Amino acid sequence: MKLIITILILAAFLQTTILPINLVLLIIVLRSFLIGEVENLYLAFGFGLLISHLNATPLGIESLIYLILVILARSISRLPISSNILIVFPLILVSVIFDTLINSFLLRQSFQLTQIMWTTVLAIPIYLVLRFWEERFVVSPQLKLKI
Amino acid sequence: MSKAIPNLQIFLTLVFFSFLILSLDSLKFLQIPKTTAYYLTNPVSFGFYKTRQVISGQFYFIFAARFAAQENKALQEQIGQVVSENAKLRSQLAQSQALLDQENTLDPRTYNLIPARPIGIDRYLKIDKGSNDGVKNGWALIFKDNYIGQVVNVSAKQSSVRLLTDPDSKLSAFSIGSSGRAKGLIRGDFGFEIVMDKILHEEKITEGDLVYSEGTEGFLPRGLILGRVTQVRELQNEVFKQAKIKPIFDVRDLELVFLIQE
Repeated sequence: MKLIITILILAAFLQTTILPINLVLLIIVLRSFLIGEVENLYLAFGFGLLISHLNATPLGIESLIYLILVILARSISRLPISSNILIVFPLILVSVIFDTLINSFLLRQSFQLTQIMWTTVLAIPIYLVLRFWEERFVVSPQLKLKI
Repeated sequence: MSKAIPNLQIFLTLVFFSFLILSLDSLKFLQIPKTTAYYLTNPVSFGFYKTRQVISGQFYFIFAARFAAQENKALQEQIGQVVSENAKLRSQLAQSQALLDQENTLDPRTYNLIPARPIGIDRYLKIDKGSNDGVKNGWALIFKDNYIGQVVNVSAKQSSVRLLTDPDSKLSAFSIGSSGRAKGLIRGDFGFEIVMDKILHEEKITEGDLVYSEGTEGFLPRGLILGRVTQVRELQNEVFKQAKIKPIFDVRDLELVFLIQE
């Protein structure tokens, strides 16, 4: 958990200073899709506040968006098609468009198509990295101890 | 409902807090904590931004080099075009100058001159005029009042001219200098030298004397310059003395030459 928080802090600063990619949203949504822990809601709330603060936008908006997206990701992860890795593409696309639309509507920000594109492109690699990390201690049923 | 949305209670609580914070922030109640937080986050953001600038600065030279290479290529192409254009203009100027000089030297009313351009040289000098232009074997090729050679091969659009340095080239000539006058026979020697042979010992010839055509061969007028004496070889046990002749100019430098019609 400490590691994911550190990564999210780093990602928050990166996305608000250098990279035009919604990294925090990407990580939180993908983690929620991957594992259904309650911590995802806390992460969404906390890092929503941090992103709002770093972007100098009204506090709370990003938290609300992230919370809704966490629930959406969790719901989609229960669907039968969630076993297909390509489902993360529409999930992230919908999430980023939702975030951008809300921001452009409430904060009168311009609609950044490049941000949507880059964030969607990074969905699969970040998903694979997250899965590799989160499933590192999950025992595979195929593996059996030879005695 | 709680099955459809896991951790519904926590979710609703967090949504409530989000709305609460949003409301408080809209009413400017969170200015003090936000300002305090900025004291923490701004240096970090600045650090990230500065790092990006430093890294960008480090890698800028790659993009600059790439841009410079593209610009260099474009400029080289432009220089090539300008040089080509300049060469063309110089060539045209030289041709015009040569035409003017030729008219001043040999009266075009006396000699029918056909301008031609040298296009190559090996044993013979090749010019861009041939039988289609009326060129015939035996015609003399001149530049101003200097003899260059004689046409020996004619094709449709090209002719070969035998130069004075050619071993087959033989012309009667005379030299005039401050010491006096001498007659002899000009011939090529090994393809890179001109020798004036058959000069009687009593005739006066010294280095620097100009050598002219005698004109007895019929295909060229008398008095065309053949070259300048650079060395006189005088052996007492031989009947004749010899002189080495050097052409006034290098054939390779000429832009335009002229054929004298029969």
